[in-house]
Amino acid sequence: MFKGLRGLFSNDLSIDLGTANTLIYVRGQGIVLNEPSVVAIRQERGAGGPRSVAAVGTDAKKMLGRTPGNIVTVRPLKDGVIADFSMTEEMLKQFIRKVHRSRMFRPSPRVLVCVPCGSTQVERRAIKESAESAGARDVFIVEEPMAAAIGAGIPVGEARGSMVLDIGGGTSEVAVISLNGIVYSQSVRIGGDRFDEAIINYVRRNHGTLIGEATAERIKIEVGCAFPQSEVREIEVSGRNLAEGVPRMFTVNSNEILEALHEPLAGIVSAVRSALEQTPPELCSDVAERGIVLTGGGALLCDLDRLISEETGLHVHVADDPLTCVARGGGRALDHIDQHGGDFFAPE
Amino acid sequence: MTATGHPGQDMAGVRGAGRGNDHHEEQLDLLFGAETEVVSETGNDNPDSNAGTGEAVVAAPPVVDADASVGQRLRAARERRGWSREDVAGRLKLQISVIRRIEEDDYSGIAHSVYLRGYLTSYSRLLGLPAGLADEIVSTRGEEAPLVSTGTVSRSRYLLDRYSVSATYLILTGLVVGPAVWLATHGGLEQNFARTELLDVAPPQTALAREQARNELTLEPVVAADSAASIAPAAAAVEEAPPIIASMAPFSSLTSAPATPPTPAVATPAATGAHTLTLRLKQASWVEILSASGEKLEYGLLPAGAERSYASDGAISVRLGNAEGAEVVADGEAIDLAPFRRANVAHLKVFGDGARASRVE
Repeated sequence: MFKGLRGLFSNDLSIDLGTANTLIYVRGQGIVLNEPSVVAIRQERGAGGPRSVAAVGTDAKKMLGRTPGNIVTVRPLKDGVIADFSMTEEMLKQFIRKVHRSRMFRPSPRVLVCVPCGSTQVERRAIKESAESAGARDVFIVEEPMAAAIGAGIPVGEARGSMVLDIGGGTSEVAVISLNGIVYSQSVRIGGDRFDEAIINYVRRNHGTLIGEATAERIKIEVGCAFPQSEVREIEVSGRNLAEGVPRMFTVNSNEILEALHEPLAGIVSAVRSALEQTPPELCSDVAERGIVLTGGGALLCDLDRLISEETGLHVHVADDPLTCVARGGGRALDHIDQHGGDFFAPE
Repeated sequence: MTATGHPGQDMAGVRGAGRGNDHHEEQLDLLFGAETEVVSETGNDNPDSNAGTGEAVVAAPPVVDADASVGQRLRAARERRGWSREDVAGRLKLQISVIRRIEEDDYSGIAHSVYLRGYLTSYSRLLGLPAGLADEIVSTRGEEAPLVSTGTVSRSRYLLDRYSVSATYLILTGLVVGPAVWLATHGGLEQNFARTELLDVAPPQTALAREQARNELTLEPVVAADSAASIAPAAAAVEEAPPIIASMAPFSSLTSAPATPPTPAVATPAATGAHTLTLRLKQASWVEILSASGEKLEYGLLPAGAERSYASDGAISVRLGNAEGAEVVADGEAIDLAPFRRANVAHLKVFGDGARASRVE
């Protein structure tokens, strides 16, 4: 009822609701929140009892895989879309409250949420309703590749084709953009999470040891690569030996991880090739001249740009600060809305 | 590795065919044979070692000034390696014209920061130059891509959206600060009990001071016409007399205030009569004294130390709120209030028929 009045005391937000991380860009302030999309739920008085939120974001991620019986850590988004509606709503509520300093008024901001371009109408509606339930007075939806392109600084309004590849936690999106619109886009459900899974499977198969998601992510960040390296890097990790059932330390090197990541990387390369095949020839030649811009956390994988460049024959480079491109791009689109309306927003 | 229905099946299937877990390094060579070659070329900064890759090495590399432009430095590094522009364009998967523009420091057409940074970073990396070169150029020559939109929002709507928040803050601040400033300047919040006085009892010294001031005002022109300056302090004395303000403060605070010490003063009899009733208060008390005709002789809270006398021909009804702290003298004879008390309130009739004092039910 008082959303309009409360809105006067709220900041406009651009939210990159990602599978792995949620970033919030506040108009005029920049990125103010970058936390993992994890919620820890406490089950009170046994099964069937009331549930309450124990922690959200970084605090909840620390609990991942280390919780007692009455606390469950949930990742409410899967493959870029909502897997648990109420938990997503709770997480958004907490994050929105966190970025507003005023405790006097419950915030009711205008919110722009980025969604994968491959998401269905039902999935988009779920995200919109979730944001509205979390207190947003207006919810705008923009497709992730468009936000990523704006955030990376690509001139999206020109009558020239630009290709952007956004590799997130759950999905990878490739899109050809021209005249403020997406001409062609393809979304594959491969992202950072799939890389972690591939590493877990590889270690289990080749080292006979079970490792957790957090360890897999650490391996990926420290020695992960997408292209053979002149120098082999190693990392020592521990896991539970499947045969002996006891914890064991072992060493993994970058060549092994390269092999482990081969399959998910091949999926991404295939999506890029498919997009290039489907793109109209005029735009395709523009892309060939300008190259492909990589954004998203997955772009930080060592030498991923070289792999895609070799596979596609195009120049590929990583955008500046690729992790925050989507949130920043959403923020720029939100700034633009007051003067020029929502040209970039996707239909629900 | 099993082939699945994944989009990348063709590439993974073809390249992963015949691979086993024990020989992954050889398989990687097979898998990325061409790329490994690139690594061996690009990862080597020593120009002499390029002889092994079949590249021609320039015998006398051009000397580059310390203050040479980025384009000149890139060109020099390229020529040191003996690579042509076509070689670099092929390795970077860029057009030759782009390489030429970079080397000539002409960034027209490629000035958008995102692309310029990408091209310069890739080129620097290929030649083993520091990546900071790109930042230097992008910060000075790069252009931010403007966000151009086809839609427009009406001017009034835009102004409303833009300034509504500021206006609301301004109005709310005015509503909060305005009254506070008004109260502060008009003394509405003054809590100086020392200046508050009872309406019931006009302070005698105030009346006295006012009387004196009036006398001085009337006498001064007559006595000394040339000492006009002395009129001003006298007038000020009149003005400075404390205003009479009704107070909600407990009476005890008034009595404890040093500015207004209790003034034990004997009031003149209200009227003439055969009987005299004297009331002395050791403590503050509520007092109601009615004459036989029902006229209120006293009605209000009297301070400690007050002494009043009342004259009457008929009976007087006396009601005391604090009987313990009061003393009643009727025609010079003290009356014991104990028989007339209920709790601490005494109600009695003095000079009634028969007895000097009688209880009023």
